Amino acid sequence: MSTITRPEIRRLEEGRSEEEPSKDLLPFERPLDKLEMSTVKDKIPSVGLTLPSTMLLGALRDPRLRLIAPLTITFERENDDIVAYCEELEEFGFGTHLTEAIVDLQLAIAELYFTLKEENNRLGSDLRRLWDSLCQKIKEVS
Amino acid sequence: MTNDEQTLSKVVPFLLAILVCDSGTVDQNSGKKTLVGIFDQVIARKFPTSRSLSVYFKLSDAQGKYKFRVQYAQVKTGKILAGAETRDVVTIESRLDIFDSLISFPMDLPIPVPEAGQYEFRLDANNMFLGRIAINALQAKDIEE
Repeated sequence: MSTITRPEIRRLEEGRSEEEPSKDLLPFERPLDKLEMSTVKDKIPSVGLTLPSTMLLGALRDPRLRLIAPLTITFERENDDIVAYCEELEEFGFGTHLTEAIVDLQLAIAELYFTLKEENNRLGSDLRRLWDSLCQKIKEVS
Repeated sequence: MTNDEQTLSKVVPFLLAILVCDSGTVDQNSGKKTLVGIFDQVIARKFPTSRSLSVYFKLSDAQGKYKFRVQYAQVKTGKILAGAETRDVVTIESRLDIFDSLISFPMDLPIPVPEAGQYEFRLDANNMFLGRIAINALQAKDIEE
């Protein structure tokens, strides 16, 4: 691993997040376009974090599916892996980093949708409830 | 929480495009954006380094009030190295409207690239994760070999 020498890039202890963002790392001091991007550090509390506890998922990677409403995802570390968990659909995604876990979860949800759709006339009560939940959150793109 | 934040839309936008480029301009009259030098690799002789760039995104299916946020993170560690969010709420009238924006990381505030590896920009709308664009930082000697 290369040595980080820039003062604003400090190496943290393993598993620790930086609480205070360094002001030198915050871009967007001047607005561009109609959006005025904030550079105030208290408005960007996520700088320095390594793993959010929750996230709202607004997209699935499957072009056939569209989320109607966001799904709440929680994250946990499990050994060296990240686990992304969607409680309302009882689905997990795993990965060595956050993005990989999210992508895995997105694929799992899409697979679940099409599996339940295919087996729709043979679903028990639990899976029927799950299918109903999926239909409230996901729609197929025609 | 402000009144605007209380009424933020729950409608999930659909991300049509997200790109990283050297720079971009916005025509003041038409609002048209011009992107220059679209890329997905940063090649440096040594690390840490930094780079100025712009991020462009375009979305549809949004309706209501939104706050957009872009986070720049190192994929391997998950650490957020920089972030920005809209100061004011953006109102999008119709789902049929296309909304796009160009966000600049200027020369005097470039993004840090601490070491070789993958980095990404994550786009959120009202805290809903919409998508990402990754860039790979490579050591110049790796390319030459």
